[in-house]
Amino acid sequence: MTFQAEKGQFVRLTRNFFTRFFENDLLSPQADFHATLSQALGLLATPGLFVPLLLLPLLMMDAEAARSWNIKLIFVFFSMLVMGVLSILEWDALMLDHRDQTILMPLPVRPRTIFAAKFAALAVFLVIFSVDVNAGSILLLPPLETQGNMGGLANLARFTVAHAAGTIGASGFTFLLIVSVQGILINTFPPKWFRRISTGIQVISVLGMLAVLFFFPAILEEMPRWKSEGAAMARFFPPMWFVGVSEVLEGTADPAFRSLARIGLCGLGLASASSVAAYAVAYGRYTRASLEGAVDASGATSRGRGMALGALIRGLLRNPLERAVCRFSLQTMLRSPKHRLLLAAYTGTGLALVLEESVALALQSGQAWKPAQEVVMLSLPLVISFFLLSGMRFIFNIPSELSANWIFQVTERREQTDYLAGARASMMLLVVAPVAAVVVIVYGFLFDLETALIHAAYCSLLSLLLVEALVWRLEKLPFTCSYVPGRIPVVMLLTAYWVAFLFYTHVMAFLEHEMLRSRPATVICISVLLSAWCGLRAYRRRAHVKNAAFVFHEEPEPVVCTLNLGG
Amino acid sequence: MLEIRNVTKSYGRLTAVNNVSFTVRPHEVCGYLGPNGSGKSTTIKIITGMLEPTAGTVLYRGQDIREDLIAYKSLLGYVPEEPHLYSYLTGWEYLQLVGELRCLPSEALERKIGRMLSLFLLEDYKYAPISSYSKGMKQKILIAAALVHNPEILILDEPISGLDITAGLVFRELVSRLAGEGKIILCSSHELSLVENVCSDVVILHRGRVVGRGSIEELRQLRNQPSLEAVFSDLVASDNIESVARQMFELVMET
Repeated sequence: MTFQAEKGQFVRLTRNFFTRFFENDLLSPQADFHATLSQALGLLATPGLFVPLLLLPLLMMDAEAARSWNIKLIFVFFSMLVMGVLSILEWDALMLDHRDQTILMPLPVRPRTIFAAKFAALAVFLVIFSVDVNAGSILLLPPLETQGNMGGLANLARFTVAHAAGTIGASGFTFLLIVSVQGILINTFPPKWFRRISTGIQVISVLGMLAVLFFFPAILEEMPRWKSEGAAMARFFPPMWFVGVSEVLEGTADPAFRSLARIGLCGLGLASASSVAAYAVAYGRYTRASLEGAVDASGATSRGRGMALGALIRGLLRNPLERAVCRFSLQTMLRSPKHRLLLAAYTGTGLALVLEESVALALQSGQAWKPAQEVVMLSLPLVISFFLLSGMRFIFNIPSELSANWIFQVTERREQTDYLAGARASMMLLVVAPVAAVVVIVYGFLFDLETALIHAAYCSLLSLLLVEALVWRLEKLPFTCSYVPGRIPVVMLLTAYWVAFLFYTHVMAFLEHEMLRSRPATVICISVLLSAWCGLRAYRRRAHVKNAAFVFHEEPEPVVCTLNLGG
Repeated sequence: MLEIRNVTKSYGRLTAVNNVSFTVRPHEVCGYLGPNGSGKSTTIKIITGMLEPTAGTVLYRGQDIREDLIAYKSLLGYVPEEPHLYSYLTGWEYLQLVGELRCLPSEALERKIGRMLSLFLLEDYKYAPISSYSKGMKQKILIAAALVHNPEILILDEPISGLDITAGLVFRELVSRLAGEGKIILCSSHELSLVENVCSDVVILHRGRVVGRGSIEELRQLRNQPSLEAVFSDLVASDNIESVARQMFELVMET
């Protein structure tokens, strides 16, 4: 084969592998490549532009603030976080999958050409998204740093290069670290184990990144002290390494930053070397395993767990339709990688908030709690249940293997309430019951069993009311209908979520705090909640329209909306 | 009796199915043939109630199926053309889902699933995710899912695609027995041997229109052809087969 022919194959394959990164239904289901790429680039670039603009009034008034390393830490942290989330979403696309191989292996393309093209596609992905994520801050921050003509254009260029090196280096480090972790896992574990561990790593990474995000304001506040004390938190917090790189390139004489920059460069070098080595070795192993069918992209099931779940559902639910929908919902959320990842994101957000509040409460241990802190303490299970239940409701909208939904269409029955009861039962089994159990254990340990049981009952009843509210207008069977994002304006949706969150967690926790002061109030309050739940259920059963068919295909908004003014 | 009466399905200017009419009676297996893109799968989706026709009706026992689609669907067993299944479920779990969606009593359902998987030689794979199944194994799951509730009407779209020879023969025998019990069976297939052996009547579709209808013997005599394959070619081949093959050959041999 001539060099020219091989070069042509390489270019074609690189382009193909790059487009495959966007065949990810978590990014944008059913969209074409250019639309998805533009959306992804726009979405990721927006915060990079938005944050400097938000800080603009402050930074324009205070050039020193613009030059301070704390501001750089925000951008470097953001850069690492976004690239981390993106790499986790693309985890399955980092290696050649079974489909790529089935198509490419019979073709007269050298394996080294395929490998080089895949590697080049990864490099292109890294460069494009690193630049995109950081473009806003690279363009906006250096002019603010050099305002008041601090050395003119030469300094502007130097600051720009320094900031770009810090942020893009941080993005690159994160991406390469994740590639090398994947490579090491492939080389260490048998293929089937790798698939199971992968999902765990993805979920834990999302949880971890969200937890760090929520703690970041506190970290940012404490970092100057940690840095001046030479604390481990300053030395081992990776964003600080790349702040160090940026500061050194700007010409700082601070030895702490020189030391951090050295760690950052070593880390970047190590991540690059280990990712190339681990990827190269893992590539061959993964390719072979994938061709042999040993790497199964979905549905690693455990017989014992499946049977236990089956027995539990059979024991609790008498109606077959309810059982079918409940079991299917739980199986999808626990086994489908994309649904599991989305649920992990919601769980992570809830846990991070709980962790943040718990740390704040723990710092008060030894002192008597104030009423406001007691309210916070009571609100923690409500925070978790709010995020999990609203997360599940959102995830119900995301289809799972849409082409397989024909089975729900051909077996459709009239008893729509039974289908929805199955969806509700899955929420109760996955969220309401486990949260209540944890509340009894934790609050029983912290307070006494009676308080724990009352708190568990109160939280469970509120969760059940939330379940009713969330499933009230459900017109789709969970996971079976196509999804058109963006139907409700984001600002409106976020505002509604925020108001509901505050009411459900803080207002209701405050009410509970007041309720716990007297036994009659407790009895009345629990009875009111119980009656409200029973009343809602009874009303729903009566009000439900029989024969209303479920929606299995959601039509996108028309390109041109008419006003229907014609006769 | 299942009657497809003047059914038309259009997508904008494209008419996929044009005024199609035929009848399938109990004890009958009706073969539904046609080249790729002739409108077979569209008609089948209309018959299963998944698609609404632009014009015409599908009648079951003289009643329009869309008047009580859900009651009609409860009598229907359907094997789709493509094995679209939830790949993260096991074979057992998938059949359990289908059985529960059809409201079958749980003990009888589990017993039936166990027997079906065993007879289809899938016993060893019942706890493996469907994503690890071969094409034939997925096809067996589809067939089992279509039969688990003992349907009155069976709509089969390429039912033996991917099945091994033994499973194909078992399926052929099974279909004949089900027809003998009075089931209404419509079978679309490119496997003419299956159609010749199992079907009592044949409907041939071409470019959305019915171009031939009757028993295999009637069609053979009418078209004066020795076999069903020859009848099919005579009715639907727009070009001379030898000429097309020759042109393809010449194209392949071009350097």
